[in-house]
Amino acid sequence: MLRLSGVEVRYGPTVALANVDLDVGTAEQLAVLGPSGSGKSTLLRAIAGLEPLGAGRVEWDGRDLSGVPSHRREFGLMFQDYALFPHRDVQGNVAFGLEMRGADPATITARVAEMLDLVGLSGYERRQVTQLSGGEQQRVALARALAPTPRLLMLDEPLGALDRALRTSLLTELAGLFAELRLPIIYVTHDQEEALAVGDRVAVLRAGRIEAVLTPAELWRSPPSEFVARFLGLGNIAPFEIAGDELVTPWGSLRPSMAPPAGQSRLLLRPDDLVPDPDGTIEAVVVAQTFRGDHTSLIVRAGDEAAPPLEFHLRDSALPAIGDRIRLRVDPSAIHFLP
Amino acid sequence: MPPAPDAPAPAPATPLSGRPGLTALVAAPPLAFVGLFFVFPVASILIHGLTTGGAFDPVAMLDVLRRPFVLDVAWFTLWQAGLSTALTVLAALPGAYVFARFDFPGRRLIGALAIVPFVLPTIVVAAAFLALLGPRSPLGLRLEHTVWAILLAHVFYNYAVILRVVGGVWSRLDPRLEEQARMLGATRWQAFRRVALPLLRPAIASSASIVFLFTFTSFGVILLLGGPRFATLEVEIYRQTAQLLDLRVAATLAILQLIALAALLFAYSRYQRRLAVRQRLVSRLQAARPPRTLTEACLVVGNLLVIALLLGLPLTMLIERSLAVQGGYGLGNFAALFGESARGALFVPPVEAIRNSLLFAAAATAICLPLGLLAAAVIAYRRGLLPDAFDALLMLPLGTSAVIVGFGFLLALGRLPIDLRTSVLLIPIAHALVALPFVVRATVPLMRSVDQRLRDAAAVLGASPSRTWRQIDLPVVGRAALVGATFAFAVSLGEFGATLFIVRPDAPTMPIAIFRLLSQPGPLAFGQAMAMATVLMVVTAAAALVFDRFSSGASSAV
Repeated sequence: MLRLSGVEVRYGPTVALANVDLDVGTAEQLAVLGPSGSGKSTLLRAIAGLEPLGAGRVEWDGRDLSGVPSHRREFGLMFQDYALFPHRDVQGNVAFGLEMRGADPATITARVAEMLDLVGLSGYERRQVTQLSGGEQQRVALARALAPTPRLLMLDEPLGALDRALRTSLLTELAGLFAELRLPIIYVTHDQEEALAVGDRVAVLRAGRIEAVLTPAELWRSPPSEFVARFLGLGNIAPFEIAGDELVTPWGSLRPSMAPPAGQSRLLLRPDDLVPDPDGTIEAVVVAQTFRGDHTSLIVRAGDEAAPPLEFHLRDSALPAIGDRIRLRVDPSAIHFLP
Repeated sequence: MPPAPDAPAPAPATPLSGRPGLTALVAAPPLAFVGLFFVFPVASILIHGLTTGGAFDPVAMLDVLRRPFVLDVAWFTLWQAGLSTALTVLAALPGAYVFARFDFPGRRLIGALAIVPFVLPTIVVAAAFLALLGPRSPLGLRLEHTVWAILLAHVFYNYAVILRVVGGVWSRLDPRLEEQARMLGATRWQAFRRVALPLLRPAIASSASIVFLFTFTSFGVILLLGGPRFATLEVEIYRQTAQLLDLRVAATLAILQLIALAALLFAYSRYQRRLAVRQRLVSRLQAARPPRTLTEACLVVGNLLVIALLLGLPLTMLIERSLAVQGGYGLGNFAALFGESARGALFVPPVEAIRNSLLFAAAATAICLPLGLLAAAVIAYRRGLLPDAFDALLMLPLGTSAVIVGFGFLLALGRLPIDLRTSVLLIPIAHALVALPFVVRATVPLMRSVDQRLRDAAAVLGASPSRTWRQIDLPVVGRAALVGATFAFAVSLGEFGATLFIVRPDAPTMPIAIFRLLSQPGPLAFGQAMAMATVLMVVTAAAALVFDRFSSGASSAV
C-alpha cells in the first residue's frame, strides 16, 4: 500500500504541498478533492516521482521510494488532457508501456486488444489519436495507463475536459470499472459530485494541505470545517451565540437537540434539513428559486440585513412565489457545528 | 479534433487585390532587377560551360567532369557539409533542450548572444578561428589547414540555427508527453528517443537542411581555414577563375553546384510539405522552469559551458588578438588601420576599406530597399500561383550562392549594352541582389501583419483606398523599410563571396581587406586584420540588434 508522510513540495519560494500525510489501501479508491491551485496535481506528481520532494517520504509497502525513478515505480498516471502521443496511433499508445517492459509482439497485440475491449474501444487499434473525440481519447489514455498492469492508478481530473452529459455517463462507467479492477486508485478532481461518487474515502486538499480525509457519507453529514462545507456546496453557515438553551443566529433563534461542543462558533444548516412550517422559528422572504429537476432550490432572506441568504430544497410541494413570507423549521438534531 | 479542411481563407481586400495592372507595375522593377542581374548571369554561366565557340558542346563539359579532382572536390563538399551538419545538430540539441525546458539566470541574454555568430560575416568567423587556432593562437592550438578547423567553424556558425528552430518547437512540446512516457516505464533516454525525438524530427530536419545548405555553399571559412588542401565547389570555382584563369572549368563546376543546389532545394521543399501535416500537434504550453535536481543543474551548466567555449572563445580570441601588440596590449592595431596597410596588401590605407564598405552598403541599401519593398508588397498583398512563383524567383539568389552571383557577374556583364564592369555601382548591385531575399523575407511578415479589419473599418468610415493605404498601411511599411534597410546594410557590409570576384584592387571592402591582410605573412598584417575584423563584428552585431528590436516589436504591433 501507499503511504505519504510529511510530504512537502516547493516551487521556488511557493509551497505547493505542505506536510501531507496520506494512506491508500490495497484496493482502495481515494478521491482527492480541492479547488484549482490547491496542489492536487502536484500531489500526484510527487507520488509519481515527477517532482522532487522538499521533505517527507513516499513509501510503497513500507519501502521508501525516494531512490526509485518514475519509470520504475510501476504507477499508472493519467493526465488531465490525456497527453496521448500524437505520433502514434491508438495501438501504439496503448502498447507503449508494454514495449518499455520488453513484452513480445504477440503479448502486446493481445493485451492491447484486451485493454481496448475493457474501455469499449474494440477495433480502434489503427485510428489516429488526434482524430478521436474527447471521450474516446480519455478511454485510450485509460487503456494505456492500465495496459502495463500498474500497481497504483492515478487519474488527474479524468473527466475535466469533457462536456457535462458525457461526464455523467462516464462517471458511472468509471466507477464500475474501478470496482472490477481491484487496484488502489487515486482520483483527483475539483468536482465534489465526482469525488463523492468515486471515492471510498475523500481527501480534501486546501492550499497544499490536507484538510480532511473522510468517507463520502461522513464528509457530507459532518464536514469538519467551513471550507470543506462550502466546497461541498453547503453555504448556510453563520456564527451563533448561546442564550440559555437557545442559539442566537443572524437568521433567528434555534433550539438544538444538544449543546454545541466546546470551541465551535459557527453552525451549518443543510438545505434538506430546512422545512417550511407555519410554526417554524425562522421567518423568511423568498428571493429566488431555481428548478433542479428532482427538487427546487429556494433562496430566502431571514433575520437581520447582515444575515447570509439561506438555501433550502422543496420536493413535490406547492412552491411559494418570490416575495412571499414563509416560516422555516429546523430539525434540532440536524444542526451541524463548525469551528 | 478532425483537422480543419484546407480551404483557403477568403481572399481579403488588400491594397493590390483586384488590380492586376497596378500589381504588374509594382512587380516589374524587382523582376527586371533579378532578371538582369541574376537570371542573365546564371544563363551566362550555363552558356559558358555548355558551348564552345558559340556551338552547343556538352562533351567539353563532360571532359571537365571526368577529371579526378572534380570528383574529389564534389566529394569533399558533400562530406564536410554532412559532417558539419551532424556535428552541429549533436552540439546544439542539448542546448535546445536546456533553453526550451529550463529557466535560469541570464537565459534571455545568453539566448540572444548565442545568435551573434550566425549574423557575423563569414570573413569575421574565419578571422576569429584563425585567432583561436592559427599560427598566432595565444592558446597554442594549431589546427589551421585541417578539416577540424573547418568543422569547428561550421558548428560555431550554425549552432544558433538548430538552437532557435528546434528549441522553439521543443518549448512548445507538452512536457507531460515525456512524463507520461516515464510513467509507462521509459527511462529518460527512452522517453526522448521514443516520444520527443519523433515529434521534433520535422524541426530537426528542416533546420539541419538549412545548415547543410549553408555548409555546402561554405566559401570564406574554407578558403581561409582550409588552406590549399581543401576546396569545396565554391572555393574551386574561385581558384579556377582567379588563380588558374580557367573559366571553362569554373563554369562547369558552377553548373555542377547549381544542379546540386536545385536538387537540395527541391528535396527540401518536398520533405517540408510531407512533414507539415505532423507539425500541427505541437501546442503552446508551460513555460520553462528552474532546474531542480543535480542532473538538471549539470545539464544546464554543461550546455552553458559549451556555448561559452564554442561560441564565446573564438570571438574573445579575435578581440584579444586585435588588442595584442608587441610586448603587451594596446590599440596599436586599430591605430594602424589609419596608416599604410602592411606590406601594401591593399594598395590603400585600411581605413579606406571601411569608408568603401560604408559607401557601398549605403548604395546597396538604396538600391535594394525600394525593390525589396515593392516585391514584398506583391507577395504580402496577393495570393495565387503567379505571386508564389514571383516569390520563389526572388529567393533564388539566396538558394544559389554568392560565388555563383560573383562569377556570373564576371562572365555576363561584358555582354550588357552598358558596360558595368568598371562602374562604382557594380558592387552595390551585387550586394543588393544578395540582400534582396533577406529584405523580402524580413518585410513580408510585417506587411501581412496589418489587420484587414483596420482597412475595412477605414473604408466603412469613408476613407478612399489611397487614403486607407496612407493611414493604415504606410506606418507599417515605414517600419518594414527600417527593418529591410538594416538587413540590406548588414548583408552588404559582410558580403564576401560575390565581392571577391568583382572587386577592384584599389577599392577593397572590409571583408576583402581582412582577407588580403590575412593572406600576408607577418604580425603587422595579422594585427590589422584582427582589428578590422573586430570593427566589422561590432558593426554587424549592432545592426543585428537593431533588426532584432524592430522586427520583434512588429509582431505585437498589429
